[in-house]
Amino acid sequence: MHDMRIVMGMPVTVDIVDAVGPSLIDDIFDYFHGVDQRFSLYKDDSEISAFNLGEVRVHELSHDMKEVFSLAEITKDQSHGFFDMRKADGQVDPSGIVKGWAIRNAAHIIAARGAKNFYVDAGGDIQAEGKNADGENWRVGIRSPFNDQDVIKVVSLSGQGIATSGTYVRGQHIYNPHAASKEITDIVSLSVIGPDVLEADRFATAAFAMGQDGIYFIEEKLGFEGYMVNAKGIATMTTGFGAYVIS
Amino acid sequence: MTILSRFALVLLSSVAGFTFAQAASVAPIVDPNVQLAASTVLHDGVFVGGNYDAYYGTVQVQATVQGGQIVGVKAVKFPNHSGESRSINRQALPMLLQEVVSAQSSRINMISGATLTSRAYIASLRDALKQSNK
Repeated sequence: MHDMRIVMGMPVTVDIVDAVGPSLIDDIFDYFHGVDQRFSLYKDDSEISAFNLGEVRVHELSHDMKEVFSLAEITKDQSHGFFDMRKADGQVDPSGIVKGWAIRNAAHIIAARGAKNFYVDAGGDIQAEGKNADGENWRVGIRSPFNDQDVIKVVSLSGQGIATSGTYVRGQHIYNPHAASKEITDIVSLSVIGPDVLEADRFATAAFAMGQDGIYFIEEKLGFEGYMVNAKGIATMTTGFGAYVIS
Repeated sequence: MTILSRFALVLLSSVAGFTFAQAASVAPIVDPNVQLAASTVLHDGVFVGGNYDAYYGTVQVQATVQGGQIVGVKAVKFPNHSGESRSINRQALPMLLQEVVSAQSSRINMISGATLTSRAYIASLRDALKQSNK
């Protein structure tokens, strides 16, 4: 059972190999819509908007919001302040946590309904469980930051999450003709594999913000592996990344 | 992809040094009603698009039009969580393996990649060009 829909401004794909009830896929997309309704900074009636407007106070927040805030605080601490949901204008933006959190929770819902072989992909961040329809580990391509038609690495995942941080907006700065003399060392893409997609996503976001040092941040994290690509097209991988590589 | 996305890409590809490889996969998900035909007339000036959620932060794009052509596109706002630069003691860490990236042809089930920023980027650029077309 395979379906892709646009939720939270991004393509969300759910693929379940096992035979499951027909309502499960709909339930998962309903879950994502619910998350968007609660956490969207672009919906005036979302809980996060109400909080930022001062209409809802900390002790009145939902369990979900408190959990995400708590994860954001942990990530801030673990990333030595590189990730911070508090913006300069005083508003709170936990978006960097919400996506991975929602994917992980969706995967838990699917598993609780008895499925063992499936994946959930939201905007290129993925939780992969069990085996694919061919009985193999899931084969996950890492998209080239230079050409979206290309895959630059293929990894084998089962019971893991993978998240990739990267942006062409930063990439554009690299090629700024007004700063041509500046050495090109910027990072254009950083993929992190970890026990679950929430953790992988949290660390990918934090590590990407650190620039070149980000891959060492991942190297130091037990159970996490990373593949970082710089603007020159040179990849640096953590010591255990090779164990996942198919090609 | 919307007509405007194609249109913007053609123009963008002519802006020196600008690469926008990922845009080809951008789905027309943000205000799909906003479309400009390839024959759209752009008026000269500097146009700033709206703020769009890239889910890691906000993206806002400014387009400069001269002689009816886009001569510059820059992000006036982009996701950036970085604080002060941090140096760590690399001597204490193992040397990490490096390689030149190359396209792989192995069979895959799904793809991990960052697409959100570019999608928000396209949406904001679309706004900017819509203003230029007024």
